[in-house]
Amino acid sequence: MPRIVLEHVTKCFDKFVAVDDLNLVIEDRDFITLLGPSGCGKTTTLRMIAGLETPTKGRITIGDTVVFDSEEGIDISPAKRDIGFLFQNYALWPHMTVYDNIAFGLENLKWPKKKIEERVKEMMAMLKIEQFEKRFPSELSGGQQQRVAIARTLAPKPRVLFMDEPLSNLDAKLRLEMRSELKRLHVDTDSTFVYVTHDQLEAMALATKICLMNKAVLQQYDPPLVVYNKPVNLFVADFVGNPTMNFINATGERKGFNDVFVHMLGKDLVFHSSETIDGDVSDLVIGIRPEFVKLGEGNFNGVVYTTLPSGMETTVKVKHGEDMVTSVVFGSVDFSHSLDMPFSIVSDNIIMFEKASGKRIAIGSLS
Amino acid sequence: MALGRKNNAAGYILILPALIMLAVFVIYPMFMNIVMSFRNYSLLRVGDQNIGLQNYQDLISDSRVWAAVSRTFVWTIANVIGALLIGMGSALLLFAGFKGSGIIKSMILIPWVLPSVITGYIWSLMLQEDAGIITYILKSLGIVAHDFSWFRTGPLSMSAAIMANMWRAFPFFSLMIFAKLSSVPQDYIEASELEGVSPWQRFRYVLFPFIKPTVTICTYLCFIWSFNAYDILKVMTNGGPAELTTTMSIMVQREAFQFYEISRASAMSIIMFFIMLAVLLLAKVLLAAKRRLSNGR
Ligand SMILES: Nc1ncnc2c1ncn2[C@@H]1O[C@H](COP(=O)(O)OP(=O)(O)OP(=O)(O)O)[C@@H](O)[C@H]1O
Ligand SMILES: [Mg+2]
Repeated sequence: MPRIVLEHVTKCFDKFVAVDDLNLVIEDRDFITLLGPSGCGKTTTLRMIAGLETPTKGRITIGDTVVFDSEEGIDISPAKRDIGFLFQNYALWPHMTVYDNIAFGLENLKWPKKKIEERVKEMMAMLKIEQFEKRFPSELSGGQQQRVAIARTLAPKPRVLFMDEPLSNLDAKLRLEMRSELKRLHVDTDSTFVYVTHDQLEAMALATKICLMNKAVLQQYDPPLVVYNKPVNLFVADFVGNPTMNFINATGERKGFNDVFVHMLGKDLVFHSSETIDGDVSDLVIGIRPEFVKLGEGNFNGVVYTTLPSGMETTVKVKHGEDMVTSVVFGSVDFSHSLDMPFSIVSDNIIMFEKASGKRIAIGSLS
Repeated sequence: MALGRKNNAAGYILILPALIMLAVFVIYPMFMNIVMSFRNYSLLRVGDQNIGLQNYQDLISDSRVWAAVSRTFVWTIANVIGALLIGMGSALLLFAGFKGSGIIKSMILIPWVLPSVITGYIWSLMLQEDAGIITYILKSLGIVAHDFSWFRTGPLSMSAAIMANMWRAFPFFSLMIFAKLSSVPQDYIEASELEGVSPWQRFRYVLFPFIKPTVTICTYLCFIWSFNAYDILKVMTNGGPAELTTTMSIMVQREAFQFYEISRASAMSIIMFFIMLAVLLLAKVLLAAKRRLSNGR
């Protein structure tokens, strides 16, 4: 079964390094999202696995086949890698009907006519595009074209499906709809999906594992909730989650293996972790998710700065001296500005980062 | 508003010189050409009068004219097909890219910008029966006989002129088609790579649909230009031997400037115009019909 392994994959465009020494194992039937800010090398990574771009160095294995190895000079053509690729602007053949678009790839694979017809019908039913069978792509809406593109890509039953920001051309509502259908499709088709996006919500919602990149370098490769709850560094913590995590500067002093005295927000507190805390604790950044900031009572005294209701939940920014603390409150509330607002920080999932390196050194609670 | 009108006047004044030139050298001669075709004006006789459709009747019943018409079609069709195939082939080669294709891309227009009279002379020299390089090579390789000449029989003379004209005409196709190929979105080419289509299928189903409009327009243009082409034939064969390469444009020129029968030549050129128009209209109708047919499936 296909398991994709990337070993020391590097891609340079002249002197510019687009992907730097990437090591990644994609298990069979995973739904991987490549996530990261613009220009971090997501598309390049995807295209290298698909064979549309030649890595400068490294080795890529799909299933039992080495499809690329810079040292042994192996480079298997994209068509032979048994993969599907969903392009951002769909790349449907404009002069072919929906039916022909889906059938074209199968004809190239020399499937018998009867089987092609069955498969195309099956795909059209699966993606609910039967009524468009005889239409040309230009006669379809963006979302419908998207479905045709997916049907076309899935028709030859590829072992792996690659998608490069496939939903970015769709409007917000359709995007949500297609998102859930993609996830459903992943279960139905039993194949491996690799999905590029720079939308962290999309990545969280879809993936079984997120591969978060920044500036050509892999930052963290974990399931979404792990990335969310245990970010390995400040970049990951900042990139994932909306509204973003609160980062509060602090100074610390070691109290024991598992405890650190922390001075933050004008108070002396104790940070307790269930594991040993390694690293330099003198200069710290404490990361607190907005949902851990409870408003209304507590020993911190802030002042309401802004209130941003979004219906189901409300984001409240509270000013505390020099620091700004963001909190998320369930339901709609509307605090008047400059209202005195006490708050507390309640969680055992507070993250301690080393300030100099930005690395996470502990997860624990504050008291 | 007053300002706008003033600007308009300035605009007219600015294009006036060009308009005058156009009127004097294009519109007036065109108009006179029509008028002349209904008279019996000749530089060899004094006086001329209106003779109605007499010129047209004479020409239509003249078998020499019809022979010239059919030769014009042979010449035109051979040129269009040849230039189209060579142009498309070279465009695909350039698009695929090879070592040195960059230089060739910038040099390929040379035959096109060369004055066609020069092209005609160069090819005449190269095909000349004793000293021409091409004929010499063919003779020394034993491909043709020792007394071979390109310009002794009609078909060979015609082929020689067609070769020269094709050489001159194909770069335009190359460049137009190449430009269009370069604008095919990369996604389509990569998608076809992923679907593992053969080179022929990639051309047939991926590239050709994109370049089709360009090819159509190029074909129309090449048709018009070849149908009217005159200089290369004039220089290389001058319609000979024995009128066997005399196309309509050569005939019109000879009638007017060798026999000085201006009115006959005018009528002939107008017949030529209508034949060309008929072919273009027919092509348009056929294409439209075909499109309707393929849409109505
Ligand atoms: N053909 C190329 N030549 C030179 N540089 C390139 C080329 N393709 C990509 N790059 C560079 O490599 C880096 C990574 O590009 P890539 O397309 O992988 O980014 P991305 O993560 O997909 O970004 P986005 O979210 O904007 O699509 C970018 O800085 C880009 O400028
Ligand atoms: Mg990209």
